[in-house]
Amino acid sequence: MSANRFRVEIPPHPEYLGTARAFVSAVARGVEASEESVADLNLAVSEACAIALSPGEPVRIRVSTLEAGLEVAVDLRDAGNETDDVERRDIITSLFPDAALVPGADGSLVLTFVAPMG
Amino acid sequence: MDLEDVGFIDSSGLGVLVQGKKQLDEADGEIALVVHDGPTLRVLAITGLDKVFRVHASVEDALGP
Repeated sequence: MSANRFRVEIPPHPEYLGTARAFVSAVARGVEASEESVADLNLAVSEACAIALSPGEPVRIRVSTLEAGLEVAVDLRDAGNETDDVERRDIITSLFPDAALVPGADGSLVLTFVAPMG
Repeated sequence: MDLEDVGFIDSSGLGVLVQGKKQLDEADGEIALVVHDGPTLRVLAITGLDKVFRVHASVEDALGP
């Protein structure tokens, strides 16, 4: 399967997290993911975007379709060391153990994980 | 608190529940959650909050003896 790539930017306000969830849900359902997989993906992306919220900076979400599932990447302003952010990352890791922070192209950080689509 | 119609909850929502429980605990009150299946119950399990809250499958169970 060739990789299809999708991306969206949302304003940095909590009320737009639903838009991010709708975006990844649409991509996941496009590859016929199970509803449980969609729910897990929704939760992880919502938590990742909540970490990424930063005044004045849009939240960028990228999704690629892979054989193994959906590769998700969310740009972060920093590692998010507030207690809430650590808890959010713990939830993401619980859902997707391969979740990792990797350097972005512009020196920022990217939270990335692969969500298997069962 | 009946969560059966909650379509989505993340750690922000869970934080509100935990804060509410803390306030009720301090006032010698109690809270139980009603949810029997689906994403909400899964989130509670992932975060371990299914062990912190009393979770029931129905309002009747929650209010029962």
